[in-house]
Amino acid sequence: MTLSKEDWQDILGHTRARVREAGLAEIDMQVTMDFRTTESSGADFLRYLTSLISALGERSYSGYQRTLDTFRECLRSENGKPIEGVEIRIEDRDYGVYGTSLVSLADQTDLSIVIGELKNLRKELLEAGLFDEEVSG
Amino acid sequence: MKKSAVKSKVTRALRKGIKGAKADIEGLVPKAFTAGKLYEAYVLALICQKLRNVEGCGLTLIGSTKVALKSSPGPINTSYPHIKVERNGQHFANIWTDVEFTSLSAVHSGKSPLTLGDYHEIDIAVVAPSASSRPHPNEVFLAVECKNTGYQKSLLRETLGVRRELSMLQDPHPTAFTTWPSAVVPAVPPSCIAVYSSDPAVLSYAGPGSFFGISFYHEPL
Repeated sequence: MTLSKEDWQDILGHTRARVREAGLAEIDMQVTMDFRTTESSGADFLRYLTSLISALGERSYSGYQRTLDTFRECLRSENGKPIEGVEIRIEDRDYGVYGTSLVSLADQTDLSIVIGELKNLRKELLEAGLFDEEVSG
Repeated sequence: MKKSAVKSKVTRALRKGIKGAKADIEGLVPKAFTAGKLYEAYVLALICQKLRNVEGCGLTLIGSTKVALKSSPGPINTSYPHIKVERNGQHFANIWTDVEFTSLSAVHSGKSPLTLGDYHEIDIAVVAPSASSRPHPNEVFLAVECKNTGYQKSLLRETLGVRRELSMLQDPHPTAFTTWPSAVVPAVPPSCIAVYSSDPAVLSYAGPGSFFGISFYHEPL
């Protein structure tokens, strides 16, 4: 059964409201900031869901761990030991903005459960055949 | 599946997933800045993976045991950690993050001193070992743009601008790479440009990109 354009628009609005209620308004804003809707509302919803999962990953310890694991697979430090972490060095001229000289990207909240739930939801919707073939592919 | 069922599943997924973590999220959700930097770090890791697995390069982090990103772009700062890339035992390139390159127009006009419009930022730059300060276009092997926000047409125009200030459109010329990201590009100097985005819409812009030797990748974190 394929849902109508209006159905998908309603589902997208519902999802955005739930995301904001969950305290993730900043992430919703990031995902929708440059969002251009298309002719396919189903594709728009799928795009929102995919971008939401990625945006959560960028704020999650699981995203940091995945990044660190990838570095450790292919990069070594000069003494031959594994990479210990990833950090942002704040330039002197930016110190006034951030109030610190170093930000460790390891200091992330673990959002792996919500990411996993949303990935499962995305998979379930795709397997239910709710989207056009072009979108699902 | 009905609309109401999809909405219920959305609500359940968010409630279940956020339960218990909400207090942490409210207090610790990093700024968009930090999220963008983690995405940049992830793309850097993917670039390293490709250079090692596809190009057969060896990679060593110089100057630190932690990968370091900069808070804002600028010239190459040799006191910062960077990645040394070796191929067949030779020092082939260095990888720097958040560096500015000198534009082709500034190089050709012999302009000095440079003004704001004469150099542009590259999120991740694979450059010749000798490159310093603001590398010239002939020292740039690969320029990578990372976008963790919605991808739209203005970002394509931005990348086309970088292409224009790195190279002239020419018949295909061999790049510094054997396979990845591309063995040849229609550009001189023959630099590769790669755009990574977490937004699947980035792939809609691959057409003009391939014409100019720009590769687009959808890579969600």
